[in-house]
Amino acid sequence: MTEKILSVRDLTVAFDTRRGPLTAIDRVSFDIHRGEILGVVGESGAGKSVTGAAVIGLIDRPGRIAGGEILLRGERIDNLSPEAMRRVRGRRIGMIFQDPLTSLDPLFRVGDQIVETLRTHTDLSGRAARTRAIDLLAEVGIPAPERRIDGYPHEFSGGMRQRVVIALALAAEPELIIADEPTTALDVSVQAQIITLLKRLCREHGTAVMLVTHDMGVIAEAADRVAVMYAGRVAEIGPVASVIAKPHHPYAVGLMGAIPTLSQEAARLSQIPGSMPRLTAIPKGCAFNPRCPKVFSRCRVERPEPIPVDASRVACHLYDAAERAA
Amino acid sequence: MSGYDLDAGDAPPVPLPEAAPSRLARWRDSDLLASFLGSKTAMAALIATVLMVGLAFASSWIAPQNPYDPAQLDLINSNLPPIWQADGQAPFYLGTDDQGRDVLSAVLYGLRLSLIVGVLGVLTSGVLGIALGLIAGYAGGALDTLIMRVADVQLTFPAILIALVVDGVARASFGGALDVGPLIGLIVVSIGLSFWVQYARTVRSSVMVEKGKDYVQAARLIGLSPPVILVRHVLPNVTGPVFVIATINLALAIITEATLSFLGTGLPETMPSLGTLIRTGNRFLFSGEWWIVAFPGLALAGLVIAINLLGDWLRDALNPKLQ
Amino acid sequence: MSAYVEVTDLRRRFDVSKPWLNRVLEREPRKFLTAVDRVGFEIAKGETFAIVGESGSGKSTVARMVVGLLPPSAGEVRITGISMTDPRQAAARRRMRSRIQMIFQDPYASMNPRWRVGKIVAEPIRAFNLIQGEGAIRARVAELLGLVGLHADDSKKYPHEFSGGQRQRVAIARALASQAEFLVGDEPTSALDVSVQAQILNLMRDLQDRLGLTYLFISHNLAVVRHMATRVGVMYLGRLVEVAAARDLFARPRHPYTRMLLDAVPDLAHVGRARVPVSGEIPNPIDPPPGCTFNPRCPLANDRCRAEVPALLDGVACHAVQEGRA
Repeated sequence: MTEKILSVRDLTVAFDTRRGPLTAIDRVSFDIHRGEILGVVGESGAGKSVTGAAVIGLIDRPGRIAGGEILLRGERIDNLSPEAMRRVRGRRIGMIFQDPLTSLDPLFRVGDQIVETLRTHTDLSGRAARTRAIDLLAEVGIPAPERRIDGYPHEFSGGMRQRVVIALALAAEPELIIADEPTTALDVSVQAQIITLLKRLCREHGTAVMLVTHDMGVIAEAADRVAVMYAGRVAEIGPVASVIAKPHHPYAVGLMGAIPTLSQEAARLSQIPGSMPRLTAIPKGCAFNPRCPKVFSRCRVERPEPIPVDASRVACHLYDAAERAA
Repeated sequence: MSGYDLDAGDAPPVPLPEAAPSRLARWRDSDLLASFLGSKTAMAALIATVLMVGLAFASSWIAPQNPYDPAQLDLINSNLPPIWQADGQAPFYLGTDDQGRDVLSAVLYGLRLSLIVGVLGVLTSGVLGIALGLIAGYAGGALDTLIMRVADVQLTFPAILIALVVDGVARASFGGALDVGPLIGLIVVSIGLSFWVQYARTVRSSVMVEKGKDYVQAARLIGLSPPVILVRHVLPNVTGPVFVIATINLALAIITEATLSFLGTGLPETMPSLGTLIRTGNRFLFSGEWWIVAFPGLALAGLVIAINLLGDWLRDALNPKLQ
Repeated sequence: MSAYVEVTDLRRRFDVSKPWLNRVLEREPRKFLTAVDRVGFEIAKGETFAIVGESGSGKSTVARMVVGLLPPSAGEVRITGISMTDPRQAAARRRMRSRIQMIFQDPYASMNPRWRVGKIVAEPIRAFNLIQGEGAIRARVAELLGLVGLHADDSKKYPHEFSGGQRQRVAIARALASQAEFLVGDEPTSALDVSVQAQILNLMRDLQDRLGLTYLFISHNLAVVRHMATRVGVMYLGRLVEVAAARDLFARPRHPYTRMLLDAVPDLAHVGRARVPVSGEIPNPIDPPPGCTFNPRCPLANDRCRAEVPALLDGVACHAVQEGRA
């Protein structure tokens, strides 16, 4: 077993509102190992982005981490002071966001932004940092990096900008990268380039990646393991091939059937009735129970804990040994 | 961090609520009310405004005297100080002026007059500005350019100057002897013509945003004509900012009326507004009768500050992005 | 059988010049963006014709010209033989008007937020004077809401009380209210989550079967297009590069761009796929490459491709295919 980089245990995030606290993330647990890409997938409202934000300590008021712990290489990072967390961010955890245009400062040359990151987080001198920045830009596939390093963000195309953002995230050789919808704003042909790049870099550097996206196709191509989230909870987590080919949780089954694919022509897509519950109205027991085709009485009262099924862990009473025996 | 915004990003879509909540329930539950209850300034401002408006419109019943009725004035009572001073006497709680007019009554009646002129002025400028803004924003092209250039030119003149010009031209053409009714109309028009620009600009930019939205396109697809689309679909969706401007402009309109009256081109001494009272009272400031000018001045300042605070709160509450 | 919709030589140019004064001061000429260039296709009654393309391909501009929201710079759209531009057919066109409706991408922006759903759905009925009497209109609205899977009582609610998928149902009900027989969907499901997307796609297919509707379906999502379309047109930088029956296009793509696009889409069937993605991005449409606009990214491009615009012959606009090089 390779080394665990990130370990999230029973993470709970609540948002305080004037009508009381709302639980956006409810006891979420997962690990990411060295060189592994964990896909976190879910529909809007599933809490996938909030999970990513919690790991990098970017939950702002009125949100707060209400329980559980986040361990980076065995050290707790969820209770660090804002100052200490700032040092972890960028140095040990890199970030890639959806919109490359807003994650780069439009007034600074891209090279200066990478050099600034390098000098904040490493002890490289100015000249060495610039050389390193050029290497980084070359590594993420920017042609003529020694010339492009002095360009401003608006002089780059969308795909090239996202490459710069990836170079920026990699600059300090972090152990973990959080990528929140990194390909959503890009065109299909560019998306494929970015996925390939991310996979290669992660393998070469041994970086652990948490890839947050709503696009199951991106997960299928990029991730090693996938966590399917629903209403702030992990419904199923396991190797990507088995979750896609043979999902266990009824929500995951419905989700996979709802996605049209290029490879086969289905007369009808399977559809899940209804929609994701609001944070204010998460059903008792299993959060999926009102929409579940296989619901039974226990689902309405008792929340299922994740149980190992094949290579995955599934939070569903159907797979409980006692229910199976019955 | 808009990606983690609870409301926009991760607030899950609404499942079916059992029944549509009533208008009252939605108001009770709204963020506007919560923001209001959370702001002590806004509450104080509202209470002060409501109090002053209430007093002003109840002035006929609660004022000790009708200051517009010369028969009720008695020179014997002239220049009395407020009641807490040595020579003060009831019922002239805030003293009297050189005509024997009760200052409290004059302030209450003046307040009412100022409010009426202010509200009518705001309505005039609002209707004018909204109409021109809708036309400019929806039509675009040459008409838009024309309306907005006129607005630009007008903006280079201070509002009070425009009001003075309109007022002067009208008086010159009608002669000096105008009745009070037409006189109020004249001031209202002056104010309307000086304040329409802000409405027009705001409405125009909102319309340009709204007309690109798909619900307006959908209305075009069912063959509705532009005026119908404007009034039915666009107008109701641009009222928020207009409401804010109207509140803040009400304060400005009241000040404009007061300034006109203070400069002597507004309401006459026989029917004094707050501005007229301050002008006449000014003469006695150095002879020691400070109360004749101080109380109308305080009333004007209080009213304007209260309305302004209310407008500021409304602006912040309706548009959190401005904060 | 003559086509239901005939689009011939459709073009649309947008003036993207700076204001007159800036142009004079900076000595710049006027600038034009050719969003749609010589596009022609036919749609038979009862079929779903899909236009697929990435951003900047001009697919939405085509949709807006077909429904009549945007006048073409040149070319013609005829629906049941009636020209949508010829002033001599204005009266016939007015009668047609109610038969053509559009479903927009963003269900949050396509409805007046201050109106109740019942009023929104009834508006086309009133505008076209289709039914007289309040009671009859109410009954028709209830019937329409039932048709799209909503409840008659939903007419009392405001749009913000619905989820995205439910709003898109309302939008479909509104489109059907005018007795439309031709619906143009401009990315009707791209703002929705996948499980909700499946509901809407299924609904659109059911309604087509029940009411014999004809669809023009605009999308960037190839898997969705594959699921919905009977025939597909692929657009790149304002031009139609390939038109084919859906089954043929996905089984045997001919144009190099179509092949690249199909290869680039992340798909559930491609778990852990390693590949060499195509290089390059879509050029700026204000300043497109001469000749075939795809030539800078095309592995088959030669001098002819860089000089001459290929015509759409036998369903594909590519010199390499026509010369037998592909």
